[in-house]
Amino acid sequence: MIELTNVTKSFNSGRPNQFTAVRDVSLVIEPGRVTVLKGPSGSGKTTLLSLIGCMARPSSGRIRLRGVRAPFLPDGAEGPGFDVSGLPERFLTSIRRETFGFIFQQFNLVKGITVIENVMLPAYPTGEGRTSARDRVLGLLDMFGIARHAASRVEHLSGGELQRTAIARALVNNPAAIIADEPTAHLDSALSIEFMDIVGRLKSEGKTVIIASHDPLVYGSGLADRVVEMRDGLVTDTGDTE
Amino acid sequence: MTLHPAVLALLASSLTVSAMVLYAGWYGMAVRAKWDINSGSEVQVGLERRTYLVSTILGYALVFQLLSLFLFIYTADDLHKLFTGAMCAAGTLNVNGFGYPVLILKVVNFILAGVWLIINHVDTRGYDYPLIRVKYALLGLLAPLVLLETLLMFGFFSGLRPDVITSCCGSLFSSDRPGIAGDLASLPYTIVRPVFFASIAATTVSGLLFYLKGRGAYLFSAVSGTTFLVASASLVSFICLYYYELPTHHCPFCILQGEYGHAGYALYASLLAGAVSGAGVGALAPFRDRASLKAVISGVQRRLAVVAVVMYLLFTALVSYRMLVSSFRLGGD
Repeated sequence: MIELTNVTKSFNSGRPNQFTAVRDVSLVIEPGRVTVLKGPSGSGKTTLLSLIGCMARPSSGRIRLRGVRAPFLPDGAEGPGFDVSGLPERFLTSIRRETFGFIFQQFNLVKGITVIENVMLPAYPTGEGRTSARDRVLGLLDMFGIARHAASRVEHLSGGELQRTAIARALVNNPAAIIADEPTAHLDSALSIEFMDIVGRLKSEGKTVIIASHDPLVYGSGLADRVVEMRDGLVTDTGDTE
Repeated sequence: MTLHPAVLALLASSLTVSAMVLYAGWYGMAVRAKWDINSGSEVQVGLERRTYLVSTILGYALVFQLLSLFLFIYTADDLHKLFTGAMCAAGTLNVNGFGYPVLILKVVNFILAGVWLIINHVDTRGYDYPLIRVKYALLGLLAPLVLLETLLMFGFFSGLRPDVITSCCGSLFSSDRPGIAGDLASLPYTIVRPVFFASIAATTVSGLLFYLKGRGAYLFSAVSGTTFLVASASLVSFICLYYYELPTHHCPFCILQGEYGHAGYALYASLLAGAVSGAGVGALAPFRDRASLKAVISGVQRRLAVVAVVMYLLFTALVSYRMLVSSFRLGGD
């Protein structure tokens, strides 16, 4: 479970050009469910995702993770959860790497290297053996129907194959939560529906999925357990579609 | 002022370290006043973000503070050629009233800075900033001493006048001279020598017991600190006699010179490393039950105990080797 308490994120604090992207957001994101952050451009969805995914720190407020076994926690300490917004960077890295998988709007795959190399990238810092990581990656590629492209460079893939490669990369460290930022923004309707099918599979496997999107195919798909509406950095509706 | 490159380097580094310590000390006051890990206020989140940067920069500054002790004694030794009567660093430090206070402060600050670095190292391995108040409280003690050291160092270097006739080390560390140096030189070797080897043995035994059993941190730390004092006194009392092969020359600075293979640097480095490591074991002991440090602190303490014992044994090996190969014998032994 991810619990946000009075989270605010400002840029250029104290300067004339100060901009507050997220204002006083309090939210509880339940595990194993699909939560969609919905709102127009500039509403703070991406900033909130980056705070939840530990890629940025809030200017004030706290973000706690519960039910996550972090390697640095002493035995029994995981019960009440722990605050990720204040964690020193050396601990935050392992959380970012092992708890969250990220799918970006532009997919951010590395050109010039192959599909399998792209998917294996997040596994390298974990210290896992290359053979076992490679076997796992091949299993993921097979699951997403792109195993035959394993040795192809990513610039030779179609839009749908790029999307599935990006999803496979997000799953390579078997994270508890998947964070997707406008994943269907550059996809046609068929590929967007395919993406939501994959989200449905992840949900059935017990993954927590958090998606920022203003695409009706995403927040209206029926897979979303909860649609959180945002505007001007504020949560205007913490609605639950169930 | 003598515009020697090393003098300029020391003054520049002292100013830099002082500025950093001053800023970190001011920041530390804010931490001690406002730190509340349970709060998500903008102030608290800002403190958390900045402490990592401040600690890292201060860590590098204090590493230079450690190294600057050796640069200072090297400089004092190198400058002795400018002063009539001086034979080594002892004479240079005696040119004005600031020399020896600076040296003593540098040694004290070396140990405090070393302990601060150890506490900071452990603090950064806890996920909830477990020792943040402790390390900034220690900085509150260290900062004024570093600033005082800088002031005195300016006084020392700006007061180095080549027309001053200073005393040589043979006079300063004469057993007939009243004062601490004379008292140390006149300590009877028949007592100091066995006490020195006994203190090294006690440090080794208590260190091994701590390493094996994980108990007796305070005892080991106290024994280690005592050994540092005994070994320092022993250097003046009898150890340097074996290097100089003279029964009346007790100077602890001449052994820094090339004539004696710069042996003093190895002796002082091993002694100070032993003292800091030993002090670190005791300094960490009160915090071993902190939840986020349970898995960290005992390992760090054990490694520090090993380092302390190894450094003291290295010091003893260097001394013993010299005692064995030297043609000089005390009391016909």
